[in-house]
Order: sequence, then structure tokens, then C-alpha cells
Amino acid sequence: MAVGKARGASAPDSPGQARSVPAVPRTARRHVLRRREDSRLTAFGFVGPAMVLLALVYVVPTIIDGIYSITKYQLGGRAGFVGGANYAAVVHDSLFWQSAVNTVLFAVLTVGLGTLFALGAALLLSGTFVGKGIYRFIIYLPQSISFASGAVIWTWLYNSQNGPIDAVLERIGINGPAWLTDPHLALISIVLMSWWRDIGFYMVVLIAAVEGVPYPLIEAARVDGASRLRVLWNVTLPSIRPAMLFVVLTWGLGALQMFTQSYIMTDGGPVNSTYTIVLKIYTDAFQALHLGYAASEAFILLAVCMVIGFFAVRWFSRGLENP
Amino acid sequence: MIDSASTRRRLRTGGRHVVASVIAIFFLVPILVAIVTSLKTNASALTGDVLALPHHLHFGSYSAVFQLGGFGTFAKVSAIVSVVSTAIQVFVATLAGYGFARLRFRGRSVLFFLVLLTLMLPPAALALPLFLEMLHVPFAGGNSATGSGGIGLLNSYPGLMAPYLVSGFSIFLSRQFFLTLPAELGEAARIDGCNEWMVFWRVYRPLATPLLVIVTLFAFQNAWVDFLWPLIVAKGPSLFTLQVGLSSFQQEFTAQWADIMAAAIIASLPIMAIFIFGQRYLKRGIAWSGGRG
Repeated sequence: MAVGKARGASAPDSPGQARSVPAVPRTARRHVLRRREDSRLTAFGFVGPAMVLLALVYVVPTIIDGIYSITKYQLGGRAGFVGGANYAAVVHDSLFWQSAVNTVLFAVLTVGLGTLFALGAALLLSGTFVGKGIYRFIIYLPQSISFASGAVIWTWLYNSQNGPIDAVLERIGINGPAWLTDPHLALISIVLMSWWRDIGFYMVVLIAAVEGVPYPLIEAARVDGASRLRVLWNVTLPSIRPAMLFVVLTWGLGALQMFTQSYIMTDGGPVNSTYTIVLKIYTDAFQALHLGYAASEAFILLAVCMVIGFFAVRWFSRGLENP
Repeated sequence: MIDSASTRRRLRTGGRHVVASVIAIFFLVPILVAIVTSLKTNASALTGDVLALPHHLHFGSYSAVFQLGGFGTFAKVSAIVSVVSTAIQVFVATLAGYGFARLRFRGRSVLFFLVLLTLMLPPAALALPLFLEMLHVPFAGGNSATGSGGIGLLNSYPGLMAPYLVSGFSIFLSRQFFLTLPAELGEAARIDGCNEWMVFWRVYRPLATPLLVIVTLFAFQNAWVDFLWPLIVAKGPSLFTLQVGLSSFQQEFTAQWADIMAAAIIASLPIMAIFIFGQRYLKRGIAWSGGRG
């Protein structure tokens, strides 16, 4: 790597030091120095645009959010400093707490059980199984439907007036439940829709991992007389642990931000049973226009995700060093 | 012995097919129901036999969606936002990915760690402060030099595209891809007098077609399906994307389920097409990102 070597060679020298060392021929010295500057400029040319945009889209908003969260800013009004008053109010906001509980419940159900289903599907549809391609295709298919479209479609499926699910249940003599209007059921109904939308994606991740387990490893265990279950537990699962963690983390962070389904399918109801944190932020900011207050709610979500993310990224970036 | 072993294997395969079929039904039926319902009339969707196929195919809902719902405009907005932002994101991300993989500069590891960290920042929580940032962009949308007085980049194409111009995920994928290409190719070109840009553009970019396809597909899909951001940035139907237009259509035409299903299908049509033609690439991209951990 020419550029790297040039920089490495000149790294300990400052330009001043270089001038005081006569042993280095003048032309070569200039060459080395020019290469070094070139390389820094080049690096900025390649990485710079992305860094500037990332700063504008992620870093600046994070800072803005922190600042607004300690003001009583309302859209069109002036931002007055209120210190921690917003956070104190959030602590006593029962709808915020209910939204937090709903969101965590949604994430645990969706990701916890969903990961098991995705793993089950991945194990079922890997290896030598004729026809696995078509099943994989079908399970992955809902990925091609947007969340908004999916939410609208499931609103119709769940509809109490001639909706397909209840119509089928009625045909076999069951009085279908009120999927989206029963406060005990609505969140579960949204979990079901979210499984439908997302299991395929995570199944594909896990299939790649399962099929990447070195075959000699499995073969050796089988020859030693291990049962299929033992091989799964002692060989396959430990080998795909990184992929499992990826699934739980990515899906979990996504689930903590659930909004579209609640907005379209239930608008947070019935009796706030499907209100999520992001829906709460949205209504406080853009319907009640209490932007400062909403910013403090957003900051709490931001902090939670960052803490989870920081440890996860540190864990992941092990073994990602450049070779 | 041989017989019972092969019987057992056949039974096991049969069982697998039964389980797989049941699972497949859960994933397939909602899509089929949406398509079939969209081909009925609104009246027969709401009162007729749900399980029956329509007597004759009724495509009226699809034209109704464009005529009543203004989906032509929404489609145009979605197309512009997705295509332009994808082009920018692909260029920016592959450039940065190459830089992180093949250039040596001080702070590289720290910067790359920060890139990975942005993957953990929740876009939905950042939507509100990004909205405020867009509102206060100086000189835009009637704003003064200090960024007040107007609406900034809200309700504009640049505002709609802002969050899709860059993605830590694309940068990550690009870096991982360029690491797999041999460094010797670049060395040879450098000895021949190529600068770093020429090495990237003439040597590595032509080898990176799979990467470019994958990043393009993910970026397009991501921009196309996003809901929260266009919902808060677009002030009126003239800048609604299809996702936002679909939601407002559903609120306005409650119970016209045939029309609503047609609208839902239209809103997802391009990514369904991408899905069918680009499946191979999408799956490879997913495997790259998660499979190797």
C-alpha cells in the first residue's frame, strides 16, 4: 500500500524536524511530505462526504434534541429554558409509561418469539430439502410489502365487518374476536402482523449462518453418535451465535421504534393499549405541538437505544479490524 | 433395516412439507387476499362472500385510486425522492466504504466505530430533531441567515430526501466488500501512476457491480417504504409519498376496501418488482451483513 507506507514513513517527523535532518535528500524529503498531505486529503475526499452527511443526519439532530428537551418550545413560539422540567413531567405522564410498557411488551413478544420462529424456519428450510426454495420465497415475500401497505392489508383482514379472518372463523362456527378493538388483543394482533412482515428477513439471515456452519463439524458429531438435537444444541447454535445476536439486536431496536402499525391500524387504541413511544412523541410534537416536551421523550428513547447499541457495536466490531 | 430407514426418511420429508406448507399459508394468504379483494367492487368486498373469487375481474379500483386518490402525484413524489436519494447514497457510501477498507489515515478506526454507532441511533427518535434542523436551515424556504422566519427545507424535495442521503449500513457493506478484493490490483495501478481516485474508479468500481446492485436495492427500498419522515415533512398532498398518500386515502375512504387494497398494492408495487428481480442480490446482502456477524 503505497500511500500507507508513505504516511507511515513520515509519521514520526514534523516538518520542522525534517528540515533539521540534512541526511535526507531534498527532493525525496519533499516527495515524502507531499505524499503525506495527499493521503490526508485523499482520505477526506473518500470518507468526508459520508462523514459530513452522517453528522448532519445523526449527530446534529441528537444534539438539537438534547437542547430542545430542556426548553418549553412550542411550534411558532419562543424556546424558553426550563431545565429538567420536561423530564420531571415525563416521569409523571401516565400515558408515557403506558406507551413504554406497550412498546417493551411489543418488542419482547415480536422479537423473542419471532426469533425462535425465524430460527425454526431457517433450520426447516436449510440442508437437503427438495422444494425449500419455494417455501423460502413465500416466507420472504412480505418483505416486498411496505409497512404502510401491510398495515392497511391487515386492517382489512382483521376487520369486524366481513373481514376475511372472522368470515372464515364464522364459517367453521367460531365467533371471531374483535382483533383490533379488544384492548387485550389489539397489541397481539399487531405482533402477528409484524411477524408476517419481518420473519422472512431474519430467516434469511439465519439461513446464511446455518449453512455457513462447517460441515465437517456436524459430520464429526454425527459420526460420534450425537443425535440431531444434540448436534443442533452443541454445534449449530454456538456457531450461529453472532447471527442470532445480530437478529435480536436489529429487530429489537426496530421494534422499540414501532409506529406505522399503531398509527394506521389502531391509532394507539383501544384505550391506549397500542400506544407506542414513537406514537406518543409524534402526537405530542405534531398534534399537541409541545415540541420541547416531545424532544425529552425522544431523548429518553435515544438514550436507551444508544446504551444498547454501544455495547452491541463494541461486541460486533471485535474481529472487524482491517487485515 | 434398509426399508425402515428409507421409510423413516420419507416420513420425515413428508412431515417437513406439511409444516412448511402451513407456515407458507400464513405468509402468502394476506397478499392473495389483498389482490383478490382489489379485483372486486367495493360493495361486494364489504357484503359479498369473502372466500369467493370475483365473478369477473373488476379493475375499477385501480383507476379509482389514481383518479380519486391522486396516486399519480404520490407515485411521482415517491419516485423522485427514492431515485435521487438512492443515487447519492450509493455514491457516497461506496466511496467511504473504499476509503475505510483501502486507505490508511489517522482516526480511521474511531471514525468507522462512529459509523457503526449511527446504525444504533433510532431514526424514529431522530425524526423530531431532524424536523427542527430542516425547519431552521438558513436561507431556505423563506428563512433568514439565522434560520428563522420561514419553513426551511420542510415541505420540499431536499427535506423529504434528507435522511436517505447517507446510511451507516451501506458504508459498512461497502467496506466489507472492498476488503474482499485483492489489494495488489491497486498497487499495480499505483505503480503505473494512478492516483487513489483513479484506482477506485478504474480498478475497483468495475469489480464492485454486485455491491452497487445490493446497496442500490437496499437504499431504494428503504427510501420507498419510509412512513414517519414523509408524514411529518410533507405539508400537503402535492408532496405526499405513496405511503403517506395510502394512509390518508384509507382515512378518507373508510370501508371502500376494494379501492384501499388496490391502493395498498400500488404503494408497494416497485419494491415487489425489485424483490422478484433482485432477490438473489438482496439475500446476498443480508447474508453479508448478518451471517458473518
